[in-house]
Amino acid sequence: MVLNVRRKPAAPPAPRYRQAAETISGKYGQHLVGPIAFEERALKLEADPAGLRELALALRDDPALGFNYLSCVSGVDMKDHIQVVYHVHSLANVLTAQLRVKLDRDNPVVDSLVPVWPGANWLERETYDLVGVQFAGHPDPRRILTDDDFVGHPLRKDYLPPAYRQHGSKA
Amino acid sequence: MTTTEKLVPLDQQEAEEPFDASQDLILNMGPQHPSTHGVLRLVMRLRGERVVKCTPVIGYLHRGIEKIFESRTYMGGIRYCDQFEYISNMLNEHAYVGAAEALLGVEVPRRAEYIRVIVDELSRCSAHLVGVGTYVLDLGAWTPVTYCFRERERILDLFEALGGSRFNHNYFRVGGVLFDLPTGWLGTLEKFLGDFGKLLDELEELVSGNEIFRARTVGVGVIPQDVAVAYSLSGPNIRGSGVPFDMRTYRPYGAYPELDVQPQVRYGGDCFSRYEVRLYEMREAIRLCRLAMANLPGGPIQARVPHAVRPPKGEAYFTVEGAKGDLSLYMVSDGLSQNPYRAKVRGPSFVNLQILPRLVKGCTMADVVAILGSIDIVLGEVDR
Repeated sequence: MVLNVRRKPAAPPAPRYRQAAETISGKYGQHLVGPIAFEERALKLEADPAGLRELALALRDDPALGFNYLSCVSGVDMKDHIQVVYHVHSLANVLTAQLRVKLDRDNPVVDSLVPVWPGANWLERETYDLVGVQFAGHPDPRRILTDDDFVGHPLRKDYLPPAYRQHGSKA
Repeated sequence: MTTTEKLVPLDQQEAEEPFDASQDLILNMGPQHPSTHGVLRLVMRLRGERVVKCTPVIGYLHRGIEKIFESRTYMGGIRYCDQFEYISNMLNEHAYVGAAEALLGVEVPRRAEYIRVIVDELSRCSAHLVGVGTYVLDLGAWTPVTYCFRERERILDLFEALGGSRFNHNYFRVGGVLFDLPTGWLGTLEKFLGDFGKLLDELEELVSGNEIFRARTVGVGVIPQDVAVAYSLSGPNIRGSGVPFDMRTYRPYGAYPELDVQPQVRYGGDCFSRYEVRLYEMREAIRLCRLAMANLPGGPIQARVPHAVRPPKGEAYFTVEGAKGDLSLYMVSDGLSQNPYRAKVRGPSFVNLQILPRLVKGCTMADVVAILGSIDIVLGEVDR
């Protein structure tokens, strides 16, 4: 289908993003999977789940990077795997990075990043609750939005909601 | 501001005292307590008047908005954005359509971007009026909240004239806005902005210098700068701690790069600083509205977008500065469907609330109300 849309030309990433990408791939390349991609205002990294916490600590503590602010943790069920996407900001260097890990769908376990960014606490609990990702080492791994006795993870693509009852229906 | 406190990871600082049945009391506050601003439940362990431990329990208002997004079209989801955060609706719609536009790669007409700035700033004012008004109401002052809601009514009247509804505006569209400004709307807005500036002077005189208000807020609930960053606070909460982190300048979007936004920063880190940031953000919003009105360009208000919005495969992360802070949408498209494959809402109230147990530890029971009110949460967005 041809979209009849006037497209905005994609702006090239600022030079500071290229410098940050070179720093990351040079020093911490062993934790990465695949090359670093750019958006207009974001670095896109894919991390090896085993080295996620080391990479996150390095991103936070390296003075050239300084990613000290965790903005968002999102879990996405991609049907053949589950991915967890972290968006982090570096307030000092005005950088944004998108960190992604791909997990096995049947046993999605990844290291918790609460020791690195304490703000990850409720965001990871929410991801566990709705998508079913287990965060190893989380200080309080309980459900947060749904009930404690809720069964299933609603944002999984194969989740079936309870039968929709109408008046007179047998369901 | 420097801090002497060393930042301890959360899993190490929970060395809590054992429950002592002879002097400890478990007190349940909420979910129907008026000062919890909705359906927040706080389970508190008190020793005398002091809070030993506080556990927030949320989820009473969970409606599964993110699940609903997956079964609605891109245009159909805008209407649900009004409902997860029901105080500053326009800002939520901006985050949602911004993510959809980033997926689609559509260029929004400049007039639409300027109209968005005006309604965003008005929406921010209406949210801060509720925030400030109910905050002083929590602390025992009855009069200011009536002033605040009187002015908020006028903002809602303006929105009603614009889009037809007072609360669930459904005004933003992917690629622009729904209607152009009606005749005479800008004149009404100008008159409102003049009166609103006077109200803010009045409010500041009435509240900021009030001895009781100052006694209950100055030096209470102090968040040091590094703790605010580590706990991912945003909005007035982080700017009250001296961090000039404002998405309108950090990741500028829409027409904001063309306007000179000045983030309001205070350095106290206490409840009073957060209140003051909100008050001065309303003044800043008046200035930005006037600036956008003066520079309002002509032209179309809606880009050419197909009726069935079906973006190419990809993902987008769009951030706006909501009334409570960093309001972001992470949207994934599978390239086939007319519905978002996944739309994750990063709600600022949800993330801001998680610092509460740390803040109220060791405070008196009365300070819990003061601290909770100063964080300024909306439970619809905490629970989504």
